[in-house]
Amino acid sequence: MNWLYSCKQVAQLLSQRLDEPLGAIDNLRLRLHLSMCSNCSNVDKQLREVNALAAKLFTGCLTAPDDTDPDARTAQANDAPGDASRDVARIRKRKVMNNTNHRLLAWSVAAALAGMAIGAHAGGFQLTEQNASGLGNAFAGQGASAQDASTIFFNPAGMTKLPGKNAVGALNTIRPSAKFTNNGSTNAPLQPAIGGSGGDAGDLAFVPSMYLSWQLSPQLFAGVGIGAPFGLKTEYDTSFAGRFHAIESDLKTININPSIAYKVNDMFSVGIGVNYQRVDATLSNAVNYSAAAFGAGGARALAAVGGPGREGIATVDGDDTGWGYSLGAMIDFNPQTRVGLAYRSSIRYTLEGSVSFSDRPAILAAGLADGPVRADVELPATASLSLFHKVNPKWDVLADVGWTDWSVLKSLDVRRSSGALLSTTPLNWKDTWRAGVGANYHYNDQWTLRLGVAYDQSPVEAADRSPRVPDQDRKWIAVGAQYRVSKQLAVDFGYAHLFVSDSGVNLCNGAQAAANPAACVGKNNLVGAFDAKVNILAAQLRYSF
Amino acid sequence: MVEGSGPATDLDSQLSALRQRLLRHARFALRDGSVAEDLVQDTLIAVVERRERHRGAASLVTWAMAILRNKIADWYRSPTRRRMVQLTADDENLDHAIDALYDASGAYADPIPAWQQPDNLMEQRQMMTVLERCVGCLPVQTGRVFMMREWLGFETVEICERVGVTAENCRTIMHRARMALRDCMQRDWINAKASA
Repeated sequence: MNWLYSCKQVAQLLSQRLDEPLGAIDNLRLRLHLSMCSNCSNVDKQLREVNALAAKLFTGCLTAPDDTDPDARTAQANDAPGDASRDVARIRKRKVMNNTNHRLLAWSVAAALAGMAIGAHAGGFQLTEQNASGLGNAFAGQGASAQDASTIFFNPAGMTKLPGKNAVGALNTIRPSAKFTNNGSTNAPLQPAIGGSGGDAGDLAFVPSMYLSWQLSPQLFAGVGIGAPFGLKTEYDTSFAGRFHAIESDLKTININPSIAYKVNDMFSVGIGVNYQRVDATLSNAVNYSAAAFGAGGARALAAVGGPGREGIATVDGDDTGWGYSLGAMIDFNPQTRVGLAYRSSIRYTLEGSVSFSDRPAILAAGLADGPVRADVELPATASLSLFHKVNPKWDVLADVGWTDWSVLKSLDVRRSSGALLSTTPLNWKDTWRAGVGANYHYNDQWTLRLGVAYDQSPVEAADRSPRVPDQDRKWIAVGAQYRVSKQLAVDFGYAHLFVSDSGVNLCNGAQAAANPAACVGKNNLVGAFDAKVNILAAQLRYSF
Repeated sequence: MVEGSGPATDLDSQLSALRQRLLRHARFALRDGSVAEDLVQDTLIAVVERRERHRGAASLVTWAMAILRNKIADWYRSPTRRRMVQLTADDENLDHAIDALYDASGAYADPIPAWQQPDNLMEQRQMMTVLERCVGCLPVQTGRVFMMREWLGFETVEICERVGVTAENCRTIMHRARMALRDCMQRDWINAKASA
């Protein structure tokens, strides 16, 4: 019968036929073979039977009657041939012993996830707002413009354009707004109250910065900058529908950046700096004590915490300091046109702090213990390529593209002080690009007017978006002006409005909760959308000695 | 929730029995103990929460099993599970075992007898138990793919996509799984029954 497929080939087709229709020719040859080969037709029947049985696995209609007590079922399993029952019994025993610890561990992990957020939240909130003179250009071309000592942040090589001594003090006032519209969020397990919109999560934030630069010799320049390259603040009401995901998220950084620059010749300049940075984070969210109790001790423990509806707040805070570096180069193609290249390294932190739980029922004191936690976090490197071009004595144009290595935030490991790994949480941030163009108009010797637009990607992918960082791609539109009070003193103002695309949230839906139970245990499926925008006002003083 | 269902201890023991049972099945379908624990935990919470809704319909176990099955299907469907199939030496070794059924010309080396159908309910149950064990003996990834297809009812196209293998590989894995199960049932059920 080998002239029409071998039995071996037929077996493959028989399997394939159970999943998809075969072609007409294959079908015909298969039938011919089956009609002549009893071995294969037996295999055919048996494969179908295995399939039919497999579909009924564990349905309860064959394995055992449903409502018998567990002892009867064990006895029955012991009658079965093979050693499956022994394995199963062994697994059962082991699991029973592990259950309580395992479940409590899972809950401590979930509680510590507030800690995980430290990395995430710094994430969407890189702060470009490092001066006020660049705000009017939407910070386009700041790595090449070198208009004042704030170039220490954007490109240290730019200091070579600043003769003498220079000082800059700037304040950016940022007012983000993020309003949530609930669109079918569920309630959290064992929590009857779904909750409301949580109010406007945004709050007024002040981002100060200051810079000093000195010309040490015709070629050598030194300077120092102090600013806040990352920051975030969102806070919702405690009745927020997403309270189990986020209530408060507060992250502050302060960065001290001594730098030197060297003018190699009229065309090339280079700069290098050191960054000493401190990060301070506080994160809180509601904790589902009812579900925690049920998870750890079943119905009895649930009754002990007073049944459904029991919740409290977990707060994690932590801080650390770290070191990084910055590099820059500037090329003057001619007196009108220059290009700047700049790089700021990532900085690694081990945030150390503590977790605490409010209103915690006594029965959960051990499982959800207050205590020290830490988290390794890397704040990303950034790079930019900038252009500055003097079109004529009245007009300058500026442009840049910037890149941020957000994909370093793949996941975050939260550990107890013992070093025991509590959780590995995927974050899945993506690298981002920012592109801007701007122009300056020198109206007269006193006044310069600025404008700019920029496009700023968000590192947050839709699936992972959380109310802590309700972030989405942004479009900047900015205006500004400089008034030169005297030869030494100049004042800059700027205003920018950021249009933030609508951002949907669908956290801990069925698929996510199934894929990452530790991140969603005790939480609800939060479904809705954020309507967000940002307004920025900034002012600065520049003084040249 | 607790109030309406009698003393908490009754519910508790009922749930712990249910838990053991769900766990065993989840471990078969997932081949990952900790994921199984987590999904069973979620299932139990859903059961307790929705107990009122369930009353009078299917038995508690059947109903809980349906919830668990959905949770397992969701888990397999979640984007982060992509590319989970790393075929191991065990999976490849199955090929050799299956090849051994055939002679050089590709015909069966030994005759394949027809299977006798189970006579009664007890035999049917025993047969299911043997099948469970046979599925449990499949190499991990082969077993998962088989359970996705036959127990969860995924289309092969979806399985290929979820596990990140080509359609051709998917067919091969299914073929191996089915032939291995057939062979295992032959040895442990049909032959064992004949010699008993």
